[in-house]
Amino acid sequence: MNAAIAIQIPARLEYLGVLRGAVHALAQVYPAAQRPGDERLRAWALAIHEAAANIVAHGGGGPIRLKIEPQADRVVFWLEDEGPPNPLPELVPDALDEHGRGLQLIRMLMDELHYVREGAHNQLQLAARLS
Amino acid sequence: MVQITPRGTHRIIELEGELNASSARTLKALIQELLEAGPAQVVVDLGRVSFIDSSGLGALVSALKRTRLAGGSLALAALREEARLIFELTMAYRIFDMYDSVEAAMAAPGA
Repeated sequence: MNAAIAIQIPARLEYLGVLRGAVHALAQVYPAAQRPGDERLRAWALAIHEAAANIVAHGGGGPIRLKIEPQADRVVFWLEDEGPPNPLPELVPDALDEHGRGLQLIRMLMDELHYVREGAHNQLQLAARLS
Repeated sequence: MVQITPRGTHRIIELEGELNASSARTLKALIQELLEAGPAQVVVDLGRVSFIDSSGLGALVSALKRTRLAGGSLALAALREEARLIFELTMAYRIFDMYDSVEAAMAAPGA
């Protein structure tokens, strides 16, 4: 299948558009028959943005690395940072809450979500089916 | 990036670019400042906002609550297709009055 994409950004909000751009670039990677539509790309980009924004808010200031692996039937995303341990909370906010929606959104937009602490790194694995 | 323009009895807040954790802070401060002068009929023009994340949506919800609490109103106008997703996922469109344009928001009864 297609080769993986890997990029690294400083852990700052103004760089998160670069990550979203990389997600949107998946449209160029797949052959026409499998190509994800705009709506799906926006959904994945929002999920990756929310996960990365959470790293910016809680991280140690080091870089954020995103690896995207376009597989035949799904896309796998890895987000890695060097901040303190940052496991996923289980909060579910209601419609009028002002905070805590990010994780809820990620869970809605992705089919899989796993957090692991690998040595001094946080690694978040997200995966979405193509159809 | 953020600008307030008085138009008749309304205060139009024009946002531009991304509504994220950073611009959310600016928006909250702006609303605070605006409401210190008294109740206001606010229209937030989202026509030049290309992306809204959960912090940005949180700031809009906060602005709505504060404006209503102060006895005013807040409507959203000209939400773009690219930024619509988060409103649908969170069902936030149910709590906001949303209009296609600033003019439509200003003309709405009670706005």
